[in-house]
Amino acid sequence: MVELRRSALDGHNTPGDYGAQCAAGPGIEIAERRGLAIVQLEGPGNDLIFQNEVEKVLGFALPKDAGTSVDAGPAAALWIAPNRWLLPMPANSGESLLPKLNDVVANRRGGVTELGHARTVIRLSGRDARALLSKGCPLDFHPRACPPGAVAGSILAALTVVLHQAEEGVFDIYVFRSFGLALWEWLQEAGEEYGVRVGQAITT
Amino acid sequence: MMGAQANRRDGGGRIDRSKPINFLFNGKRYQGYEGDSLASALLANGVKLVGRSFKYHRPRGVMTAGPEEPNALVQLGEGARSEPNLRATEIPLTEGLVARSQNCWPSVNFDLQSINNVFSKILPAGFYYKTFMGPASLWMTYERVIRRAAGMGEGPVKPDPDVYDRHFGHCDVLVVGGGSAGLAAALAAGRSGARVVVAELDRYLGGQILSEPGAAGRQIDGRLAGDWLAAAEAELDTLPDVKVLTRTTAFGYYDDDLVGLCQIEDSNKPGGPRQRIHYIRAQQVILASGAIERPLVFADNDRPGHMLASAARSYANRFAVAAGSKAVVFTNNDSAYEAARDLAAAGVTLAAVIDLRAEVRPDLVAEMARLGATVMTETAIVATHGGKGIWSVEVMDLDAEGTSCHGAKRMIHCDLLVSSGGWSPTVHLFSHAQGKLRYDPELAAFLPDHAPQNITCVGAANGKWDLASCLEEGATNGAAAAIAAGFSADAKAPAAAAEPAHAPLRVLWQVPLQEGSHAKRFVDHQDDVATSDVALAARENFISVEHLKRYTTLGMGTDQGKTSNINGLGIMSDIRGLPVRQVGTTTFRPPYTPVTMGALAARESGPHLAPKRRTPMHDWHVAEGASMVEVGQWYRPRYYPRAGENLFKAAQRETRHVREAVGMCDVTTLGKIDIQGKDAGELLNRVYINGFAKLPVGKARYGVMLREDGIAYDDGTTTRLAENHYLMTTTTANAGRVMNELEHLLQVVWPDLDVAVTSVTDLFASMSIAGPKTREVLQALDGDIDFSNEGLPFMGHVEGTLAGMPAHVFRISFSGELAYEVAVPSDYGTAMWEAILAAGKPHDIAPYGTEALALLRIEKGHVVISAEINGTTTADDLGFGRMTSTKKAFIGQRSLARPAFVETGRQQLVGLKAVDGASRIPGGAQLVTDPKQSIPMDMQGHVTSTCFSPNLNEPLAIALLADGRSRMGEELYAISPLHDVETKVRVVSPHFIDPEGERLRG
Repeated sequence: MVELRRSALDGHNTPGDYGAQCAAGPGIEIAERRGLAIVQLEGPGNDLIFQNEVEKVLGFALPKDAGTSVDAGPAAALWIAPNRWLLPMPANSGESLLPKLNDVVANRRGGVTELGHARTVIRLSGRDARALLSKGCPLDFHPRACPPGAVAGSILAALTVVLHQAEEGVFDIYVFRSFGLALWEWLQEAGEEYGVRVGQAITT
Repeated sequence: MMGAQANRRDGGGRIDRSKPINFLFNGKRYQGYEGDSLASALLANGVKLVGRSFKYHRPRGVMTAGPEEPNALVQLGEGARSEPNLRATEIPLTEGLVARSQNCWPSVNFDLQSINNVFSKILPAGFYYKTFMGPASLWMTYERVIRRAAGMGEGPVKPDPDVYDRHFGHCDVLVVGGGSAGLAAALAAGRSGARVVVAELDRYLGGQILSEPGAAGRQIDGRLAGDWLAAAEAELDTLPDVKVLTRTTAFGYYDDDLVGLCQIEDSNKPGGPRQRIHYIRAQQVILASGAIERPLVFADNDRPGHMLASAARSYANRFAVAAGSKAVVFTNNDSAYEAARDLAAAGVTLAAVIDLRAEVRPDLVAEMARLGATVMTETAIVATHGGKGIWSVEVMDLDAEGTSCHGAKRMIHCDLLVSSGGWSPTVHLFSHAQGKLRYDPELAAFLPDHAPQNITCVGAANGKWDLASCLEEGATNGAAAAIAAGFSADAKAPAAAAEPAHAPLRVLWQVPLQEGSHAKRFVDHQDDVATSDVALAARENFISVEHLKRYTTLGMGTDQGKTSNINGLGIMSDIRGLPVRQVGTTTFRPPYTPVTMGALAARESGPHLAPKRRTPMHDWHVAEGASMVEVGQWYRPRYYPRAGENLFKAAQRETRHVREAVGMCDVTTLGKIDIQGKDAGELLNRVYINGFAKLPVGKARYGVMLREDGIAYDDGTTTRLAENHYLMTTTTANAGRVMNELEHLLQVVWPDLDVAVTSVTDLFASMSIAGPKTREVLQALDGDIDFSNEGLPFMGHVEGTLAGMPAHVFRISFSGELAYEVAVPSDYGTAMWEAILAAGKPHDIAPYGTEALALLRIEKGHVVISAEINGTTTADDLGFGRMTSTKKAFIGQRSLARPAFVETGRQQLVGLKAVDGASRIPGGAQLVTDPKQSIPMDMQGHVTSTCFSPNLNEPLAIALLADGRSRMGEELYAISPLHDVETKVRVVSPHFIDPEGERLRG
């Protein structure tokens, strides 16, 4: 079957090394995470019954604190605003979970929206990842201020983004799809002085 | 002819004689060494004359060794990389450097405008203001001439080829200044584990330590200061959370301890920046920015060869350059004796030490005597002689009051004159932080007092002149800052020997002239402000320091009076007979030294001025040769030119094709908002003028929103997808604003409503297929969607599978033709677009752009944001009066009863046709009944949108006209003096094509 889906970066993310080269290898690695289901869940975060019902559907609990996340294998839950979470997960789990989550919020103030096609997700890592983020985002990325699992909604390169430190030094950047290529180009250009390795798209 | 580097000492200095560096100054080739600044290399080569003064074009030389330099401003580099107004004292010498003097023509040695100096008496302060007063129309001419005369360098005209960058930083302790106090602070804070940033504007750390005289210099912790410096630097390097930035100027201090730094990198890495701005958010700031020496103010004190005593010392010790062979030292304080000692050690003959004070410490007098120099106390320089250098000075005895000189005039020959009038702490950043200063009459300086932010001044910036105190204050406050940031720190300071206490300086803001002299005593060397200008300002009652600055330009320019402000204030205080603290001081404002626009813009220039927003089909449009247009941040295809077509022809063809066959347009950019919850219908009822709660599932409705004041705000269709689920569309322009508004309403105004809203603009790729053959095209696609009139009637919606992709199909039309909008999840956008084009091939489907879209909607009489929904029109003005519900409340409703909204004479939406069916009706044209009436004419309305209709084959326009709806058939004139057009028009319905809507329902 012909692949009908095209991401915002298709044709612009040929793997390879770009920019300054040094013996230690490129300081920046970027790759697209594609084909994800990204479910935005809104609901009464302080309602214990709601929390339990969601946990039953997801198989893991929602993060309670602002700016934190719960890592659950291929899926995760990111706190992005009061009563609002982003749930990135493989596309097939998204399909099966959506109706169940809809049932959970049906009689509550809230909503469920699948935003997989509305976001471009870029995974940024490498020695100079924090320095690169600091070129376009006013947040503090020092390990003391930004531990693994941290989530923040902020501005990066004048774009609205959600940043998630998925693991130590590995940042997933969620950006509106229409700006996906603009951010990708910015990361490549601003990362040029560190050397940039463009990796294969990550589909898991 | 001066030999190569004739003024260079044989040994010593922080230069690398094994690395000679070639450079070009004013077209002449010179050589210096690695470690030199441009200024030191010029002095080493005996170049004394480096520029001409701003107003009188007097010859000027290097006066300082730092950022306070008023004279040695150069144009650095050539072509697109050329940069004006740089201080030669701050430019590191690099191979192949090219620089030239500013402000002289045709050359620095022969400057035609130095004639101004002869006429200086008629060029007092305010000369330009007073002379070039009128007529106003000539000011543009005057300004050009004055600007050329002033000539403060030239901005490059070519685009800057370099990259600039930005860095947002955070730290516990920011140390501004890497001298002894700053280093002690950085070490104390850094050792605690705190995150420390050290910003040093020089390219090396060390501050005054760099100017210590090698083996004869001061000691710290039992070793030479220079060795301690190297160890301190090495230690800082080992602390992982300490970052040292050199060539980095802290240029501004903003709210909440945010400090702007400009780092000059001149990186030659690919993509590496020339300059980088750091915005550092600090918990605590230590200001160890040192102090700036003040020159003395005396007759003809601006000759090349007169420099600050500390600068001469710096050149001698740090750069191994003797700035002259025979020096006169002129001072009012003890610090200049150190310069005298080091100059003598550098082989300079000391001709005399002239001290304004009556008493001088005996040990200093004895030391000078050992070096062969007489200390002349209570003596002043009353004249200097020279041309492009200094040849001699004349001295006389000074009276106790400091108001006159007397006795015999004595001439002393010299080629170097150094002066010291005391020191001013560099408290600029403390002032930026809203810190208050206090005047210390003993030191004759403003010292930091208190500040509302977390800033602490240490060392010379706090009026401490001796090394031991600088180290002590640095360490104590560095540790305290780390503790305040939550660390435990040790305040143990590096030790330095105690130094003899400085005897008080003698405050004498201006050295009196000898009787009958009219020589100028310069206060502000960069702006050519002399004591006489300050006196003039006082006579004309510009006595406030802020007025003094603006009237005389004292303290203006690129140096912002770093060497002149305090002297100027002192003179004003003398004139007014008030203490300095009562005269006040001007407020220091950022930047400390000029910052280039390139650095501030960083990457946001040229094509990156704003991020590019692309639809999923963007690459297709570009590949097909579409001419793209920016719509906000979006890029949209404007038209798809075929061979030989321009914008007009292509848009006419695309428009005609939609009415005659079928076209497709990318409409992804319209805003989309997902609205869910059991009160979703109620929310829509409250924000739209018309009802939505009773809209059946599977139906779309056009709606109009008002602002609180009743003015039309946004429009679009909203579809009911399910019982409690709607999809709203907004205009492209207002998508973000409407979303924010809904969030605000739900969170703040109506938190009781059970509704969740999410922006889903990016979720869908949307395409509008329009034209009589649309149905055939879509029916040719595989899928489960019934496109018949019964299956999907006008304003209907279905969700299904189309060409193997999940799709929403809306039967809505902006063009007035039979039209469907297909929306698929964004990743499918291009595949769906291509599938529809393939299916439409037998029907000759053609893409159309925003230009045809605009023509189609004008033909149909549809309104758009900005042209008709323009912030002045109500729903009724636009013809939506009947849509406005009277059965429910909505935002803006109550404002509709305002008298201005209901009285007659409001401008209403109408159509216009040219009476002759051919003349154009320009956009913005005013509508009048009689084109010959005298001005002011009775303007009854204006043209909001206009086009040549390819389908009606005549010009059409939409207009807003007073009482327009009741004036159908009336003939008016559309006049546009701007286009020199006057067209007779007839008022008609704006629905030019298919007013009954048969096409779109067919």
